[in-house]
Amino acid sequence: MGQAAVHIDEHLLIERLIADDPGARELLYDYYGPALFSLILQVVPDNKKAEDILTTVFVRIYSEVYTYKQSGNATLFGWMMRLTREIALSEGCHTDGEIVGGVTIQGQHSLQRFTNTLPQEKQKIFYLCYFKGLPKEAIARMMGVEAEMIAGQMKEIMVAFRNFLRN
Amino acid sequence: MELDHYIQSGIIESYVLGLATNVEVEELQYMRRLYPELNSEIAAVEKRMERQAFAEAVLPPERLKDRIFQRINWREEDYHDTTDYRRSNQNQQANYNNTYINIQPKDNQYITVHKWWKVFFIAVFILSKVCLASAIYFYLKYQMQDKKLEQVAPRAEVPANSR
Repeated sequence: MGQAAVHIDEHLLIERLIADDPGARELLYDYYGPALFSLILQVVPDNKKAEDILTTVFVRIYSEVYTYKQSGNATLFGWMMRLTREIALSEGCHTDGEIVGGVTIQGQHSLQRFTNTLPQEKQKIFYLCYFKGLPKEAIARMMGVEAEMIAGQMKEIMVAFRNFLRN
Repeated sequence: MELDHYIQSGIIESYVLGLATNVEVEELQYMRRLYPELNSEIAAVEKRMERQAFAEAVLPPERLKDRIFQRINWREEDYHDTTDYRRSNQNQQANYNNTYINIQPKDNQYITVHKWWKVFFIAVFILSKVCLASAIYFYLKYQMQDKKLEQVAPRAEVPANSR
């Protein structure tokens, strides 16, 4: 799917969503649903599970949209994106602790492509952090290194991600 | 410039991805108050990620839309019910986790009965047909008997002045 051509007045949309307007809800789903679905599929590659997660995501978005303004996000998509990853991580069952060797990231989504551009060790750190939702301390324990080292590596990864996004 | 250095550190990307620690998030909120121009930088990063996500969008199956709207409708009905009856919070949570299938028609034109009523009605129907058939059979038989009897012994004329 290409980039959506329709421009949406975000402020107006949020006001209508807070007022429980069914038309606004449908518009939100039609406009952002496919983009959020692709984000879920990056974390949970199982289509069936991803569908269940998307359902939960939209039910949560509609009922919690009033919290968006206090969330600290600058755009509606930013807020929905964080909520989506949060739900995908908590609902998509994971097999933590099984990643001993290198990680292989499949798929051609931007975050997966970005992960593949990183050196082996950073790949693993970013994978565990973003795709598995593990805190830095847990990753440090798994890899047998200091938490500061992971934090330092993550900073470098984020600089690389910034450059990746800008290109 | 300090702000530039801060932005270049990738902290905004880390925050937008949801990977920043609590300390980093607090620091970012403090910096936002100090430098409101950071907000436009956060918006720019979110917009970049939005563009990426839109370029890679995957269309979910059509049935999912109905499922979501059905769920949100039930949730709202349930919410109104719970506020009406002032149920406990725990109850509300339990209801939220359940999936309801509403098969009750909206108007009150229908009634629901036990399935054994179907068997009962079929039995009554068959029995009534049997009764009807036997009634006709016995009526015809009676008529035939009557005729035979008349042939054998014609009915005696009852005199008008038999008293």
